[in-house]
Amino acid sequence: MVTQKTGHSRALWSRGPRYAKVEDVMGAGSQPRSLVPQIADLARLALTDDEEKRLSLEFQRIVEYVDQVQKVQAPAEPLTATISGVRQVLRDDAVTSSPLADALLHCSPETEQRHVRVPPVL
Amino acid sequence: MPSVIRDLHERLLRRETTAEGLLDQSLAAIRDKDETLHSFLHVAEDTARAAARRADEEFQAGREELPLLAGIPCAIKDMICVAGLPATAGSRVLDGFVPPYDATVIERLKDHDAVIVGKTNLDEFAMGSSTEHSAFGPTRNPYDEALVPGGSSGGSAAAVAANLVPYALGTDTGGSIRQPASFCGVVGLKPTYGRVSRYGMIAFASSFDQAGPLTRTVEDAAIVYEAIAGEDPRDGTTLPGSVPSVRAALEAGVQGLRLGVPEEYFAEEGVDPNVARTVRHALGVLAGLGAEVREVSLPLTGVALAVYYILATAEASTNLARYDGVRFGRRVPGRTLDDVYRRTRGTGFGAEVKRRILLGTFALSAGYADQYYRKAAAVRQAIAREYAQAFETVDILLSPATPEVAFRIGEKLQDPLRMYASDILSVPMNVAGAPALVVPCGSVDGLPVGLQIIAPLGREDLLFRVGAAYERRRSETEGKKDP
Repeated sequence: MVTQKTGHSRALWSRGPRYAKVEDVMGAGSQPRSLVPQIADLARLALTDDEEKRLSLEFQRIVEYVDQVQKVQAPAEPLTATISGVRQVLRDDAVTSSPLADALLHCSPETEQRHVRVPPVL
Repeated sequence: MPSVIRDLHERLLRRETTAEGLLDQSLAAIRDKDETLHSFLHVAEDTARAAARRADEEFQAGREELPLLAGIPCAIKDMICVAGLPATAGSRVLDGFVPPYDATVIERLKDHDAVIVGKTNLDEFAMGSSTEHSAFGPTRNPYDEALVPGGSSGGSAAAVAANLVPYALGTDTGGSIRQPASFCGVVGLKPTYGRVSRYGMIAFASSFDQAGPLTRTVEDAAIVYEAIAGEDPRDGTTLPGSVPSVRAALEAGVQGLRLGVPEEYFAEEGVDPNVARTVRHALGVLAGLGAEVREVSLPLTGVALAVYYILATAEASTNLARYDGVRFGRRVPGRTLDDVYRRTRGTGFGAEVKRRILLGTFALSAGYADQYYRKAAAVRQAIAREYAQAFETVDILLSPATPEVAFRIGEKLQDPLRMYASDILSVPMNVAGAPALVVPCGSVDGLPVGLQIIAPLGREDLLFRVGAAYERRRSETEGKKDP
């Protein structure tokens, strides 16, 4: 079982019990085809029944294809490994304001008193 | 091949034409041809005319040293934000979004007094190899309207090939500049990762994405590249320091350069023998110009596509999480916020984007992240090392840009893996971060074939050296067929 080794996945799963871990539902190593409804749930994607059926078939074939990476022997790399090298980029520690704030807020489908308005969470 | 941009610049300087005249020509060509081609999603006549008039004022004032791009029309892939123009990324999920700011590459073009004619069609969120995944319908290939122009920057490639604009910007995450350049018989450059700022580019896979030019000649690509490249404080992944000029390299020739030919790129399953033969002929031309051609081996080539489809989809699944109906674009109403997310994303994204979000979410999920994401990240580093080693013995690598020439609209739409395989020869450069230039090198059954020139990180100058020498020789001996 390999779970929550990275901060990345921990953040993904820390949103409450509603969003089950894929492996809790299916068991690690199960057929990827049957995972599609759970993954779509994690990705907040509403799928129609037809979409789910088609995507399940395609998903299985694609996972079988990408599985060829398992055959390559490669030393483990830190998760921060990049192609271009890492450099720390910091700006001055000073308060700034963006002249775009109002314009960006205006991009939202619904606003109220300089807030983005959304329906209730529950 | 004489530079199209330089030629127009000189005509502007001599007052043989005006920026507004060039814009009118471009708009007339769009009206004439684009109903069929569908290379543009949005034509911005008013803002383009204002920019052209400003450029004309500069020329009339006799300002010295006007930029080469001043007053010359261009098109922008609709994956890059231009302030005040709709940005769709080819997706319904961004319905109604008009960015209030310019991408850094757009700021730089505007600093050069460029005239932005409009935004070009693309596969949704740049995910695809044919533009058939655009929510607004496919673009057609100017060589044959029954064929795809390639993708995802298919609109930009078709617009340049059909002479609607002298140049266009595209983005390349796994071949999205080079594959359509090859299919449409134009020049396309994917710079080194980090050479061009990604600020204001709609993110698909952030560790792969690069913007670059699609042009009619190699020199044009160099001119546009020099205008848009360089460090940007708003993109921490840009390479520090000034960008070495590539203009001198255009005349340097290939005498004494060691050109490596990776056999794997000619032997991959699905590489059309006629395409391979056409590219080998181009290698012979370069050898005739004094380059030394050597065989090299890159055994991990075949696995690069699998690495790409794990890492790029993982990055896409996180990058596309922002399209949830809250801050911009489409919102489908729901009783709860969660309903809004699911319905907005479920109806806003097309099939290919959903496939990739699912795969990426899977590759990052607990229980599978080590097996897929981390494993692929490790193989990516091994591929990058393999390239670095190859470049210890050769200066440049050469290959076909694509396994085959442009295919028919609809031919691969129902088979995602066949569509993905169209990028098998271009994806490795994004995986390794290396720069690559595609130059037309002949045809198969009347359709263009592209030669892919690959250089070590940061050595765009070598790409232009080889590309310009080849193009010069080819135009002396064959001329170039227009669509």
